[in-house]
Parts: sequence; C-alpha cells; structure tokens
Amino acid sequence: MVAVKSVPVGGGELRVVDAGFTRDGVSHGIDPLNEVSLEWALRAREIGAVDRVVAVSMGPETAADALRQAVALGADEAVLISDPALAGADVRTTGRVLAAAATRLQATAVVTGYESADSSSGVVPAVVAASLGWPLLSRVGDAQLDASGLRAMRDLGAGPEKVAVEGPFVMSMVEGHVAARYPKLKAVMAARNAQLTTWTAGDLEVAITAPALTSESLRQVAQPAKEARVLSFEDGVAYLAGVLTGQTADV
Amino acid sequence: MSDATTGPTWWVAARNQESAAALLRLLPDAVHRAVAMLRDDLEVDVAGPALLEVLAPGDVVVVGGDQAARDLAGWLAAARDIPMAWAVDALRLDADIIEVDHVVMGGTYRLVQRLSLNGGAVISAKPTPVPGAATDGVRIVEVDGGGRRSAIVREEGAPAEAGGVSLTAAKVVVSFGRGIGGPDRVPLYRELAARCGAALGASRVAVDSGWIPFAHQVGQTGTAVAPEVYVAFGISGAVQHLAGMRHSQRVIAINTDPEAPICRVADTVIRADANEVAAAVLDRIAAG
Repeated sequence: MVAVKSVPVGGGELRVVDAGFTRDGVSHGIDPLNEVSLEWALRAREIGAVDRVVAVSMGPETAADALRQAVALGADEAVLISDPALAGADVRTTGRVLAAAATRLQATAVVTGYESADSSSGVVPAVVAASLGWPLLSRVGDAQLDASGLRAMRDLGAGPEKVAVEGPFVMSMVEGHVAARYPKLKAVMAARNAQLTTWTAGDLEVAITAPALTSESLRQVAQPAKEARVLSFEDGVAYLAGVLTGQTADV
Repeated sequence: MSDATTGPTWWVAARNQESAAALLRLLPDAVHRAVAMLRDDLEVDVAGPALLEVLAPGDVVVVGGDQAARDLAGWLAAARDIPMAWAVDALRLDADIIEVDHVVMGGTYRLVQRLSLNGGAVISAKPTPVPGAATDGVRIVEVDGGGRRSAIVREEGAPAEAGGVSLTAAKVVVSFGRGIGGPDRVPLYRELAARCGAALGASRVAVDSGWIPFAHQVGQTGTAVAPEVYVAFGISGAVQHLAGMRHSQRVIAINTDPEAPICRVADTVIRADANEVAAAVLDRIAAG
C-alpha cells in the first residue's frame, strides 16, 4: 500500500484566510514525495517482490486526481477514503484510517513519504506503524525487498545506516535516491477513466476522535527588515577570512 | 522552579542533555517537570513501550523535532490515544488549556493552537538550540528499553564523521547549497569548516541531491541552528532553510544574486561566486 496525499502543487501555497489556511482555489496534485515511494513499490512489483501496489488517499473528492496520477504511473488499484466526518481529521485519525485501510487491503507493507509537502507533521507513518503494531523505518532512501525481508538504507540524522526487518513494515521515504518515472501519455488518458474504489470511515470501522487541537489565531511574524551590507569579492574574502579566524570581532 | 503539587507531569523525552535542556526551557513554569532520557539507539518500537511504562495517565510529553522524536510522538499519540501538536516553538498553560505556537510557512507565520490538558498530550517542539545548556536538577529517568528487542536490526551503523562539529553546538556554521554546483565542491567546504572549527551545514537541495548526508541539513526538516555566525555559500534561502537558521546572530551570504531570499536575512552579502570565495578564504587562512 502506498499512501498518497493530494497537496498544493505548481508553486501554489495554501492561502491564509482568517485564523487558518484554506485549500480552496489552490491547484492540487500528488505529493512529489509520494511519487518516490510509489516508484519504489512499482519496482518491487516489477521484480516480483510484491504482487500488487495499491495507492490509498484520505481526503476530499478532489484527492481523486492525485490517485489518478498514481494509477497513470502504474498503481494496480487506487482507493479514496472520503468522508465528511474525516474533514479536518488530526494526525491521529489520519494514521488510524490509513492503518485500517492497510488491514482491509491485507497489505504487507505501507510505504509513505517522510512528511507531506503541506502540513509536514512527519508523524503519520509512526501513527500507522503503532496502530498496526508494525516496525517503522523512517527516512529511507532506497531499500531491497525479497523473501527474506527488507534491507533499507535510512538516515535519521546521524548519517546513513543499513537496517533490516522481517515481516510487515511501515516505511517512510526521502527524495534523492529513487527517481520517479514519468507517466506515459496513454496511461494518463486511461487513468482519467480508471475506476477508483471509494471507502467511507464507516467502511473501515475507525473511531473518529473530534480534532483535539483547535486553531485560535494566525499571525504573521514580523521579519526584521535587514539592510545587508554588500561586499565585493576582494572585500568579502578579507572580511570573511577575518570573521572565520576570529580576527574580525564584529561588523 | 516548580512548586506545583498536583497536576500531570510534563515529561521532556530526549536523547541527550542539550536537547533536553532546550526543551525544558519551553515548559510552562508551574508544572511538574521530569526528563525521560532515552538511550540513543532505541527504535520507536522499543522506545515507545518503554516510555509508556514511565508515564502516568494524563501526563504531557514534549519531544524535539528530529525524525526519531517525531516517530516517538506519532507512536505515543496512537498508543495512548492522545492529541498531538507539532512544530511548536512556544507553549503556555492557561488553567487546563495548553496553548501552542505552531510554526508555519517556514517561520513566517505562527498559528496559535489550543488543546485540552485533560487526558494528556504529546508535543513535538522546535526549540531554539541553546549550546551547552544543562538540565539543572530536573529529575531524570533513564529509559534504556528494558530488554525489549526491536523488529529492526541495524546491520551497519552510521559512521561518525571524523572531526565533525555538532551543528547545534557550533558557534560558527559554514553551509552550502545548490549554488556550489556539484558534489565535487563539497570537500572545499568540508576543509573550510574543519580549518575554522565550524560545523558543516547544507541546504535541503544539497542533501536531497546526495551531495552530503542528511545529518548536515539545516532547515525546517533538518537541524535548527543558532550560531554566532552563519555563513551561507550558494544558498538561495528557501523558507524551508530560513526556518532552520533564522536564530543565527550574524548571517553572511555569499551569492551572485543579491535578490536571493537569503540576502534579505543576511547582515553581509558577498556578491561573488561561492566556490571562488571559499577557495580564496581558505588560501588566506592557510597563509596565516
């Protein structure tokens, strides 16, 4: 199962409205990071390490576009979990819903991005892992899957390390190691009419907790207007060498 | 510090003194506070259950913003069924309401959010690093996993880079970005940083391109730094990056484009090619 999120794309950012952000009027598409995890899963399928790749997204009906992109890239199936009750779902609920989807799909692995391009909490993979009781491999660049298990190269901040796991797992991936393919035009056309599976929260029997985190206000942080001093190459080299050797005390 | 005799304990869960100290500074004054010091190599499937044994119902857990901390936060939110807030750089307590400042859009906005203290919560914070800070007498509980075994087996450890200076502890950070052109230029900056006792930083693009490991990434998803001097070579200054270095005392940007966003937060801009400046500075330092 490849978790897919529909996020603002093409340089569009969430717009600020009142005490929060809105997605309305901003063009959306598949999170580029999800193309990486999808690519990894497709390659695993191509070498026979997995049988089926299912793209799953929780979101409004407009998230179908991101799923169609996943189908165009090669996902065997796409599932949209859409339910008014899930609007504004917190990370806990989002992770649980995705975990429930994995269970229903009888998935043996859940692959995600390490954080979404928009809200960037970076914790949903951990919620999924905890909900399923599966180990979590975070920030994986690339990994090999075979009958003996998964061997992954991850970097949690102390440098790259090789880790291995047997059995089902949740893996979050980073960019820069697996290059996503481009969809073929024919596949893009075909995906437009692809049949998506749609589930509601009720289908997944997930208890939805009311969002416990409420937004009160949004304020712009005053950025002190700095007027930088501009130096030429010669002056700059002299200045910087002075600062770095501790000889130039200030300014 | 705390004279509260009732109410939940606010736990700072960290893997070293420095980050524990930075997180402790975020806590409201009149709360019970304690530190759960996690053994550094614990996977979340061990750290999570081990930490649960330490917590009482209703306790609040505050962790950092690095990946291991975020994994722990998500794990706890699911396992304890408690709400979570993230990217928090300030928090206040008003009766039984926790109010947090959630950093959004690369630090240009603060979203003030509230959650109930009742039932506990987990908060992933991005505190301003405080080099050399200590945990000053706060009760510390060591969490070593209690003999649990992770499903994840480490086959080859992350080799510590010889002579590297920690980003959060550094007084001077020398950083580079896409503007240096390619990975073949990285040794130049490595040497420059080593020569002047600086930590080596990099932008997300440089890390994602595989020029340097993630450990060096400065930014919202990397390490937040607050050195006395931050030197940015060929870094354009995406909000992602600015979010991680805006607490620097002095910023020197080397960039051919004076309109680059990094120049708006810089004190000094050297308008020149990053590699030429780095090489010339290195020569000058070597010449004494």
